[in-house]
Amino acid sequence: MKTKQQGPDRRRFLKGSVLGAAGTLAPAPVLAAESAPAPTAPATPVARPPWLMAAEARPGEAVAPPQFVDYPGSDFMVDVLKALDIEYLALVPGSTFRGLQESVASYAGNQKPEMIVCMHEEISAGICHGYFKVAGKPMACLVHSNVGLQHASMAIYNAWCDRVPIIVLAGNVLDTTKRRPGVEWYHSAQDLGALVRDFTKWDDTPVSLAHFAESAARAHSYALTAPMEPVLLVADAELQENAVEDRTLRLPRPMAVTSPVGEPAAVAKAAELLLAAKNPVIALDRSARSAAGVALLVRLAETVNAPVVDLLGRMNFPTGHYLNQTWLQQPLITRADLVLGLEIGDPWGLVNMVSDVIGRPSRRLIREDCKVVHVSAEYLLMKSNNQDFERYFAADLAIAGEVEATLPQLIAAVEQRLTLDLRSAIAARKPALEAAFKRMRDAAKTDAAKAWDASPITTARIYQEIWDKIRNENWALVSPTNLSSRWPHRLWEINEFHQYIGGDGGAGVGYCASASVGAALAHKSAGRIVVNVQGDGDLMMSPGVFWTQAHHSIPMLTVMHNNRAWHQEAMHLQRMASRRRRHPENSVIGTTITDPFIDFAAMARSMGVWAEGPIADPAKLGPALARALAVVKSGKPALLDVIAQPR
Amino acid sequence: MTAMTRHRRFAAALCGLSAGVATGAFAAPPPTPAAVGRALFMQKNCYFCHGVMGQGALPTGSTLAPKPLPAAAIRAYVRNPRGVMPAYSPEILTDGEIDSIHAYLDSIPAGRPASEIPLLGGSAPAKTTGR
Repeated sequence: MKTKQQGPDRRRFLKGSVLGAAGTLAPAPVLAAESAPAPTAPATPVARPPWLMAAEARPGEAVAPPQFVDYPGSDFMVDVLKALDIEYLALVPGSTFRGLQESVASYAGNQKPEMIVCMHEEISAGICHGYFKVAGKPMACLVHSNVGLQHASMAIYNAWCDRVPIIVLAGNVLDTTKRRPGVEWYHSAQDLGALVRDFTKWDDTPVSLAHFAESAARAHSYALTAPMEPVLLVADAELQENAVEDRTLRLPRPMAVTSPVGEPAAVAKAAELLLAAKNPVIALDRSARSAAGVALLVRLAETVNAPVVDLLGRMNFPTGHYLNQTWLQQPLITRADLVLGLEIGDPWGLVNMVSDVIGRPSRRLIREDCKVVHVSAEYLLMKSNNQDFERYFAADLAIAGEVEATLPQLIAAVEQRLTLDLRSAIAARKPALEAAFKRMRDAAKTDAAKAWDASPITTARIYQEIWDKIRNENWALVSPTNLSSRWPHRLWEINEFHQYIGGDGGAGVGYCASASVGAALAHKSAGRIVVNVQGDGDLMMSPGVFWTQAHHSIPMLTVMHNNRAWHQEAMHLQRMASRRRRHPENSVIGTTITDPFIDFAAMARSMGVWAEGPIADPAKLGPALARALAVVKSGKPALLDVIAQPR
Repeated sequence: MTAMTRHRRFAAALCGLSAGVATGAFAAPPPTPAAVGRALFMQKNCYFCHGVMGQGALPTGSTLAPKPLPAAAIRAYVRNPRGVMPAYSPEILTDGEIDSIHAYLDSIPAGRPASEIPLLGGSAPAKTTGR
């Protein structure tokens, strides 16, 4: 939604600076107060209340002219955001950034950044999370001090765990003498960044506009340098609202920092180990960050004919490729003599396991003589409180480097060492790998056929009904698949980077509902059919997403995986009950979403989203999907509530 | 509403109210062993991990039906599982109840194979897809 630009033409005012990226600002035009139209007297005398008369100047005193701010600091902040190429700003309105919001609305004309209006700050931050994973560049969320930031914190944490950069701008009133009494004190902080410092890469509280500009550029640069992470920048309300006094302000020039590349000798050693192995396995997780990364991963795997196990933190490897043997993970890992992990979130967990039984025993999965090489930018990431770094694991060769940046060097090192004998041995692996791949895919179809006509509808049936409708379209799946048996990765042809955005990062419930909207926003310009298979528990963390979808006409198809439970927790309680020889019937207490059932279709419709359901008959799902997709193709969001099996 | 009432409603809802489980109709014939087994399968939350039809799910539980293991094998496994499945003691799940659940699993007919399901690449005549 764009607004008409009002007031003096600030675009012209800053034009020279923006183009020069580091130019000095020209003097701001001055709007003389006396040039404003003189107020006209009301036709009918109106009684003046005593408080107003008391506030008026006494006889003989000069009347102060009305005060206006012609060039507020928040206009400059908007220009900083423009300089950093921030397209969207997700927000729930809040008084500590009223100046900045008004600048976006009027000064920027609600264009670049355009406001994406949300119903909860967790949605705002979650939208940023999903947006980056499609757009490949960050958007920002603007949150109210204290309360808004704390609402946003869960989604910021998910992005942190997912190594996704988002730019969080937070309003605040730092100067205690300027705060309005009461609420503004509740909504101000001495050190606002402290609220999220454990899961942001960097934060700052600028005390001048020049400081704001520099720190915005620094935050942007830090966020986008591997390992990528969220950052926070506080926009002080006084800086936003007061006039720009410093006429030498400069707009920041964004700085793109190259990705860290593995040390050449270590990369060469990795290549030697890879070629020396008889049963190498390549493990992927948050490995690719672009289509080029997928192509590099395919090239590496094909060069050595190594089966790939994809932990699906990103879209890394085509599901239709014969080397994608993800569903043979356990036999492959246990047989391997070399595991090459590329940006694995939990390398210990890849080659070890903990059984969720009494005592939680752990055991090593890989052979004693198996070597593990791990390339990861996470070796460069240090934080201590939140334990997202997972269990310590000493790889035989640990290479600090960003995978996509290191892959060309690794591939070259492998290719340089390929002898004729090696080429022959590597080629000889192919028939067995192709056969194993076919067996794996056939097994998935066999599994999917089970209970095909059951009600509640199986998750396999849901995904295949969707696939039937989108497979010949320009499509993208924007929801994780881990809670629905990974059917798309077992059955669909997911071959393009944009067709999947990976997982939730921190497993904070509520990710999918919000991040899917951000991803859909980023897909919108490409005209893709965006599909979100949405858990019911996750959606209820942030049901206001429907309003944002409708308000901004973000086309996406949401298909409810409505198992009427927080099913993971239901299984946990079942485990506890049986372990204690207590009745498993009690496991539904506090874990199911029943009595009453939630009418998700009605909920979506109430916020302007086309919806149908609940659908429990599998035969009715296909036609309903066709109707819903017609809505999506018209540029609108749609929802189908499907009553589904647990997993 | 008691917890048990809540649970019965939930289980019935997931069954689609189509299982023929006795719900208090006095004139109705006694439920079949399979019907009793299905009610137990839902009541004891076996479906949490194995699905309502015992179809299994990759991340949670193995396939139990169609063609379940012999009742004795299921009984032995339930008492002393080797994987991550928790053990169920006789106080919680009697041998008779396990046998009833087995009767339910044994009653589940084999569905169409993937080769006959068009959406799984099968070659059977396709119904309208609504596209």
